[in-house]
Amino acid sequence: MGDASPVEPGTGNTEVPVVEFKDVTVSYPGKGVIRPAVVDVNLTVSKGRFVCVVGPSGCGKSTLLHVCSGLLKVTGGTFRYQGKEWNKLHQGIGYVTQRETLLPWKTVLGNIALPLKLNGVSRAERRERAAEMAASVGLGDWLNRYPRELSGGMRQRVQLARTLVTAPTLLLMDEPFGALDAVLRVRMQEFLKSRIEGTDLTTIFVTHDLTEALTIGDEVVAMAGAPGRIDQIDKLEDLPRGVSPVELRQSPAYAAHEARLWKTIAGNLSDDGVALSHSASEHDGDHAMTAATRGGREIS
Amino acid sequence: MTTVAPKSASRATSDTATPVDGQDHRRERVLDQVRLWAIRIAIVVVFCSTWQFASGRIFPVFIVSSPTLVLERFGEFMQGGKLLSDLAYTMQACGIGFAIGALIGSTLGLLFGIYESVSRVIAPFAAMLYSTPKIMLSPLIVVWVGVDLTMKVFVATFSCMWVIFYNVWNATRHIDRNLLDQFRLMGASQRQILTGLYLPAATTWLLTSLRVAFPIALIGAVVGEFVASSEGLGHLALDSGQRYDSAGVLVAVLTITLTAMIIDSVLRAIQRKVALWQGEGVRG
Ligand SMILES: Nc1ncnc2c1ncn2[C@@H]1O[C@H](COP(=O)(O)OP(=O)(O)OP(=O)(O)O)[C@@H](O)[C@H]1O
Ligand SMILES: [Mg+2]
Repeated sequence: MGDASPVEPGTGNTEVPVVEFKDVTVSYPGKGVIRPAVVDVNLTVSKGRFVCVVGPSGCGKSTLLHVCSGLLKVTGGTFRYQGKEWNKLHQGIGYVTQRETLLPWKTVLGNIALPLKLNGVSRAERRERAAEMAASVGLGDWLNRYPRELSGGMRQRVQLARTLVTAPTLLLMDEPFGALDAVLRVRMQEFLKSRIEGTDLTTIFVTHDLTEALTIGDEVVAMAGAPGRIDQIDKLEDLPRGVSPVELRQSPAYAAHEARLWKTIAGNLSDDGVALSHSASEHDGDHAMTAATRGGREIS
Repeated sequence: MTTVAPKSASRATSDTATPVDGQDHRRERVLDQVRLWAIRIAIVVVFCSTWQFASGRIFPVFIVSSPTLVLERFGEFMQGGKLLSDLAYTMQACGIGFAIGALIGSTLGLLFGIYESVSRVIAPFAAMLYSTPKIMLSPLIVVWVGVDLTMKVFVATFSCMWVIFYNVWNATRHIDRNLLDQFRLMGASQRQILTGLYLPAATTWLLTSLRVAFPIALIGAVVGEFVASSEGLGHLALDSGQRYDSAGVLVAVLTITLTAMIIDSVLRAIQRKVALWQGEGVRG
């Protein structure tokens, strides 16, 4: 990874934010009535931050990441990447998309080395870097296998490795650990954190898992559906860091954040008058309730 | 004749079996093959015997010929190398025509497929050409280039390039958008997208279409010889027919068939290799 100047999150820096949404609306072109996918999005992500986005299915999480990558243009408001309103693909983006995009005709090594190859890194160097990266996601023994020979979770790790190998400025991840078992998920979270720590890599991380969001994020953006919008931005500065996941989850601050975010995500489930008036809860309601009562964190 | 589908299913079973089972499996499969070939050979023997018996007894010899006559004629044609030089002539026209057709067809398919706007414009024309019996244009090709080898090459090219174009075009048009986006995000240039994504993605389709296109090119070359020629297996068949020499026609047809089968098996072997490499030979 490039220069390793540690940036303390939230240190009142005056530099331009990496990502800035201002009253952003996105509508997909389509027939008939055009329903916007997301409306009134205001979000600023400064350098080095790790932002988690949670929300029910269809609320526009992937849409936001697409805008960040430059693959999708906003239809209203302004989006800025590193202070500029771009209208072409953004530079220095690493995007682990929700849909798998490994090349079936390349091996694990070839897939991980692909972005290096496209950017003219010499064969020897890219093989070395790719192999190193593969080893660090636990696929050191699988270098010459093809994606079809791997499990879903392994393929996701290949995608992660391919994204990290280029040392991007902005890391976009759309449910990258969705297919992993609980243990591996925690390991991958820790791996990701260790990779990011001490760099000024900015990350936007979409997940369905509130625990995951609270464990690895600096802040959590909670979205609500139909049309998608941001309901709450919860900064996690008061959470204890550098403790084990178990200890973290037992801290009172954690419980407070979790309760607050649940209230937002579960919408009209709350009966204390906050009454977040959204429709997403009509199909999430029961499910979220049971999940909440048994301490689960799946929210869609 | 030959089946197009790869026999991955049977291979998968033998791969996953335990060693002991594997031995049993192998023996069973060998036996199976032996049985299969015994039946096939029996069919040929019965067919040829019946043919030999019927020839001259039930049907006149000059209409149905006979296996011995065919062998005799084969020997005659081989003497002085006439059969081989005719074969060479036809395969030359077919081979060059096929190569040019593959090149033009796949290049056009890629180009048109990459530019969506072009695809949308040409779609109905492509459908029209797909339905045209291209071989009917051979008289026109005679007008253009005369009756030499060039004419046969052109007829072969013109007959076979469309099926290749059509397949590559479709494969290119329907490329996975997510993969394309990922390539662009990784900073790939247009050229890199072409060589790193479109070409490999279209390879499977290209190979499939090559296998379909080769016999079509062969028909093209033969029809070219029918239109006007003094050489080639097409000419040999036509000439023999005009002299009421059924055995001669059959020798020409059998020669060309066997050659085409050999070439098809080579193409099939390549196709199977690539299919495995492309991830279509799914294991377990
Ligand atoms: N290409 C598209 N064309 C038209 N509508 C789309 C397209 N992609 C997404 N949408 C719509 O935009 C809305 C938001 O979709 P998006 O994929 O961003 O949701 P999401 O939050 O990522 O959902 P999930 O958690 O299920 O991945 C949905 O209502 C969806 O129907
Ligand atoms: Mg999504």
